[in-house]
Amino acid sequence: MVLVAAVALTACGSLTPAGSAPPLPDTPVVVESGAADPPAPATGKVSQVPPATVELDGASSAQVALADVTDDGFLAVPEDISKLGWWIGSAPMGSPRGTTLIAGHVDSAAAGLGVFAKLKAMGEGDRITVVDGLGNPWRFEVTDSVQVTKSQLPAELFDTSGERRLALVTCGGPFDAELRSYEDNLIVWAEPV
Amino acid sequence: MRFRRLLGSAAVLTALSAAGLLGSTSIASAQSDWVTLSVSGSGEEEVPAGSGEDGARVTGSFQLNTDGELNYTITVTGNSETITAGHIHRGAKGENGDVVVELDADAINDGDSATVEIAPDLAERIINNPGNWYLNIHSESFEPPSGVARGQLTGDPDTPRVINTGTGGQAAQNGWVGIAVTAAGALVFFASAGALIRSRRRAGR
Repeated sequence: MVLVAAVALTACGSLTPAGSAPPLPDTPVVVESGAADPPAPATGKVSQVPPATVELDGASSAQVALADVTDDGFLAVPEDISKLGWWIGSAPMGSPRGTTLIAGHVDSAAAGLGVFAKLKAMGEGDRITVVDGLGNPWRFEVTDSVQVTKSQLPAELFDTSGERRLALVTCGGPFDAELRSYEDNLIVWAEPV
Repeated sequence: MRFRRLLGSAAVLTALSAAGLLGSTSIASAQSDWVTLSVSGSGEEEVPAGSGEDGARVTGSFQLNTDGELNYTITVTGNSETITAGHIHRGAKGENGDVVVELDADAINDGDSATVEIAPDLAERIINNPGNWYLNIHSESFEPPSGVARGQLTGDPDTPRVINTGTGGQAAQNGWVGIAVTAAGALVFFASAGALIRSRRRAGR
């Protein structure tokens, strides 16, 4: 984990390395969308902010909304299957530790296959790019893909202090047509590169 | 990608000064650790009870440190009017209190992340006791001290028990189609093999 962070901080080029981000300006400024990229100040601070978009290897990017938890314990993933949800209790982008949990629909009765239907085809080494709310890209590489019973979500999904990871979650396994619900969750784990 | 940054608001500094909340304004040379706080609120949490917008919800994520840097991302749903203002107030659940941070209403309407600098002393107070501060969102019909929706800050939001992300079954059907084809193929193979064996036996008689 330390080695990954060290490599990330010394990486150069047009890509923003994992564990760092363009620092905030020193002088007061209001920057609107579509304007020039924020000016690079003297200090090398790493800012933290929620994810804004996710791009799976070779696919178009999808927007990420904040997702809290309903009164009955369900993660409030956006109903729009083209959008994803970031659990507000998970690690934001720029965090040096913990899991960033992003969930999305595999499908819906009304709209068909969702953005995260592609997770099933992802394998070790596939690339994922997450752009945060301040416009900085963070790149990850898939390390594992697991299918778990919905009632057996691993504790690592909700960890905010351990190993730095990205977890993309959707539904999988057998579908119960009566309940209109899948029996399992599919989790794609990725590490920063 | 849209983002907004509003630094050094004179109005914020004036309010903080009047409230006696301004501490040292020097920025530490080393970066302080970031802390993430969140809000999950509704119109029902407005004070007095019943003064918020029915069905409105507000979700917020705040990343701040004791240098006074504050990044925030806020989304509002179920609101009937454009959001005209957003604030962080001092106050426990069920109490109204003074504005301590002014937020960017345009960023809130668009669900974009934004940044503001606050007094380091204030940041430290919020980090140390997030429950004593709340986010309040306003529109033309829901002006202060009430609002559209409100929620207390917390460093310990609810953990999901269930992640339900599929109601159509199409993804499973795609998988089952593959299995059905394989099974059908196997049946054809064995049927053919059976016919061949019977044919050879007849020939061998």
